[in-house]
Amino acid sequence: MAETVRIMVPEGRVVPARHTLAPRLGSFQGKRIAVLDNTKPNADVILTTAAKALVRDHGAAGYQVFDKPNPAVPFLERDREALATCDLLLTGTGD
Amino acid sequence: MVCSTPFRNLGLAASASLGLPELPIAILPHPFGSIEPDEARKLGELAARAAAAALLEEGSAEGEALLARGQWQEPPAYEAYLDVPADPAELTDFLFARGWGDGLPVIAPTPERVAAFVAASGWPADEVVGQVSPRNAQATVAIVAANAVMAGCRPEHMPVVLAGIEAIVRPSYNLYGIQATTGSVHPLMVVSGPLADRLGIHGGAGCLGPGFPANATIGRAIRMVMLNVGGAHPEEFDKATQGQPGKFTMCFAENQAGNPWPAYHVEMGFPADETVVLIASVMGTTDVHDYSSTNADELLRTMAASLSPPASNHAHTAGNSLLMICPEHAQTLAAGGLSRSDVQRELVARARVLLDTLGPVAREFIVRRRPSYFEEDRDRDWIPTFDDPEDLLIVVGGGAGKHSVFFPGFGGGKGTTEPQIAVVRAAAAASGDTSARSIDMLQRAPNGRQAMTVSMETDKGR
Repeated sequence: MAETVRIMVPEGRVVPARHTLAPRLGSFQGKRIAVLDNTKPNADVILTTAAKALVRDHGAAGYQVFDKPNPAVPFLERDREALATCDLLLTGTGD
Repeated sequence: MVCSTPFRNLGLAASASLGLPELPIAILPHPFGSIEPDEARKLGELAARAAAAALLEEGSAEGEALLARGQWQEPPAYEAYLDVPADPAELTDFLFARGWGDGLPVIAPTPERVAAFVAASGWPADEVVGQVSPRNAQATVAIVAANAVMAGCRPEHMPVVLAGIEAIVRPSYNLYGIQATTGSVHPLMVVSGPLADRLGIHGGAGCLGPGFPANATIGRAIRMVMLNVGGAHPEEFDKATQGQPGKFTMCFAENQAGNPWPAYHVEMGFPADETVVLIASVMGTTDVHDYSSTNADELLRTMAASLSPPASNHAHTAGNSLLMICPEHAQTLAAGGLSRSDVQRELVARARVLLDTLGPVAREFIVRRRPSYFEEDRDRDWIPTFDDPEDLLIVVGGGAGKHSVFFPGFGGGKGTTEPQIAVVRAAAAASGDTSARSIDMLQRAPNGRQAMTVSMETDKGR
């Protein structure tokens, strides 16, 4: 590098956060599925089809659909407790 | 998580930013929308196989092939300083290769320049203004200063830049959603108060165009923080389909000289000698041209029609938008006896989308998104563009001529992104009084509707 100048790095410090994935399941038998529908077109069709297939092919107990007002916001706080009772959650992003 | 192919990197970046980089993501063929239900169901079957591979101890190879995962990486040791090429052209390329900047030439944020900007702010260098989504890095005053230097600001602009950053990192602004969306949404900053004139922030003729360094560089500093600290780079976390020129910069002042009404910040309850920034989330500009109407009622009809383009997110799903009324239009409205809030109310009452301009699938989508309008009559042939008058923000700006400007909002309804007001704290800091006021301009009333009144609170902790 030719002549240099010292600068302040402009990106800021990241406070690291790390969470651990839940252990894999032996089977879906009797497990409860949450479907978080982001309300984009066909999100409900794709996710509920997947949930039905897990019930049909793997013996999952059933599924419950949770709506969001629109794709740009997180799940609704009112659903936190109900979501926590489910064993797995299906959601997605895409157009 | 299920992603369509172009959203793979977004899925990986989002899970990493939440501290779960190893989260398995099913990558399925694009698109998800605009396909027939049978095709969508086939994608759902694929998603089930991917879910089994991701979540069971023993999944199929077919399902595993659909999955993508990231890896945990320890953040590199934080380096506050770096030696870079002194040549301006080489400097820009060098920084851009590291993911810093917007592609236009930048000024080197040397420690001396950063220190001068911090000193001009009156804030401590290491005070954290907030964490910037999606990277969730800390924007300290010094980091904001470094970005303001890069953007070409002057030291005296710092209090305005800091107010803008303070506004966009509030949870109710939903910066995460604004950074990631396929929409072309970007922050719009309006400065209202006496500091605007003193700093050269222009609100008259050509205020959205070139020729006004304070407008250009202050708005650019906000974007610089969103890129460098927030890490929302196009094609990766920033999934805007096209983007928007306003994503480089958008800042102007309210034109108080041409404003027939009290200043915006005064109408919001602030003292006349205070200066505030208003930050809204908008999707570019739309010209509202009317040089023939001679009375308020006729002009309102033109304006209301311009607020409701039938194929826009904001018109379908409501939310907040901003209208910059030019001084001559504002005079016509004021001459008709209308205040700013009267204009809000009249325009919101008239702005609507006729549903027969849309096809049946698009209509059903709107019915689903706005169920309250269709509870009593599912066959209604129109929807209002706004839910409440205060969802249409109105400021006065521009010079001579009969062009107002509509800034369509992000849409999505209430709670998607709320406009923010932050006080520019230059005077308080300089006098040693570190108290500051913040405003939750859309504070919700107990019944869930937005309150018409504005409440202010004192935040002594800052």
